Amino acid sequence: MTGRVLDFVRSSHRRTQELLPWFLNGTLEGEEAQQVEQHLQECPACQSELECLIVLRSDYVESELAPEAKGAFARLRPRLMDEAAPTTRAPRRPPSRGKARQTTIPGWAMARLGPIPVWVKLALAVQFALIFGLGWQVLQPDRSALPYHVLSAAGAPEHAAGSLVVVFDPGSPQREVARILHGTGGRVVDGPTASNGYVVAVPDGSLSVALNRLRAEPAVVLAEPLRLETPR
Amino acid sequence: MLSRRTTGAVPRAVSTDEAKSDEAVLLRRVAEGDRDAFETLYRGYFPRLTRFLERVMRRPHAVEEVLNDTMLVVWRKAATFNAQSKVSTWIFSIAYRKALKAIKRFDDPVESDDQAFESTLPGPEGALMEKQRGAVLLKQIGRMSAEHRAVIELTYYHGCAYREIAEIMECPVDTVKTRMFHARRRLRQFLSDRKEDL
Repeated sequence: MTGRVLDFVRSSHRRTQELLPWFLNGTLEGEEAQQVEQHLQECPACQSELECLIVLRSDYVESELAPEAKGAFARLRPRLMDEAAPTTRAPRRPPSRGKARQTTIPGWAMARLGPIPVWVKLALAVQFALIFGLGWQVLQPDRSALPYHVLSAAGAPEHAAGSLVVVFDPGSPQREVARILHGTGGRVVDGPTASNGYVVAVPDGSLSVALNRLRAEPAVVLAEPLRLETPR
Repeated sequence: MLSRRTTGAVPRAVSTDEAKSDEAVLLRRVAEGDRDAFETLYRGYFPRLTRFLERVMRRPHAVEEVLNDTMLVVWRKAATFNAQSKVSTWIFSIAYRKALKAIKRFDDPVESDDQAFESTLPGPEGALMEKQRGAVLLKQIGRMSAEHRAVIELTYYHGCAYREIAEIMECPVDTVKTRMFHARRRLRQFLSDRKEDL
């Protein structure tokens, strides 16, 4: 029992010793502050230590500097003016007068990055070329399985003869394209091509009507016959 | 924050409750790109940051550069400030990290207090004057690590709670207490000399 009490007193003493600097600066709160105050009342050693700390703090604080902010801020101001506003507030700021920014990378960032080495530029160029090439391939329809023929060639499919070709605006919705093609009264026999073109077979005698209808549609970029209609 | 319970005419350099809300408003304006608000904040923090950096780095010639770097971060990152902590804690935390980086960057020797100390050696009468005592104390503190100096400065001059110091220095609170305890132990001789003077 006595041992426990001694342990408690020792730990209380140790804890108070640790906390004295913050008891002194008035930042201890609640229970901690009360414990330190209570221990101080009954511990001459901690009272003495607190007196020492008061002197120490007084000596430490005495060597006060009297800095002048004006000059230092004047030296910071040019850096501040060069500073690109952070992205979160960029839209709210008018463009700075004077030199126009040639780059989307802020000046301070460029200053931190320094000059871009040649190998980095080369690596970027190769990377862009690869991305472009792969992207082009992906976007092209797979024609490897299809035999090559010109639309007016002798070996061309029969239905191509007497048809027309129509090219749509690339931005046209598929539903709109289908409506227009249906309106020709024919049927799609080929396409779409890479340029959004279709080959349409229309019944004999209706080629001119179909062409006129197609050419009246805003979504149609081009509508041309693949052969001249046989005069009756 | 509790009011100061103990005696002693030491300025409370960290933000009081009133100043805390004012600073939060200022910082919000800074986040919106208000340069006038930034200048007000800069001028408010200049004396305490100068003192803090000078004491932690012990390289007076580099203080202004590190201080301006610190405030430039405040300008850039004001929008990211987490309002759960105090503005002063956030700014001192930036300054502390900048100071440590600057110390690592320097390969010049720390400016010695020896000259100041020698020029203020006690006279034949033996009584230390106030300035002399300050010089002796700074010399002893100057031999400690930047981490110990920061704890002393933030506690005794800036009046920070140990939890704030832990936040500023990004370390556990027990580390703060231990650093202070060791620092006091190293100042034991100074303190016992002072006791005799009293």
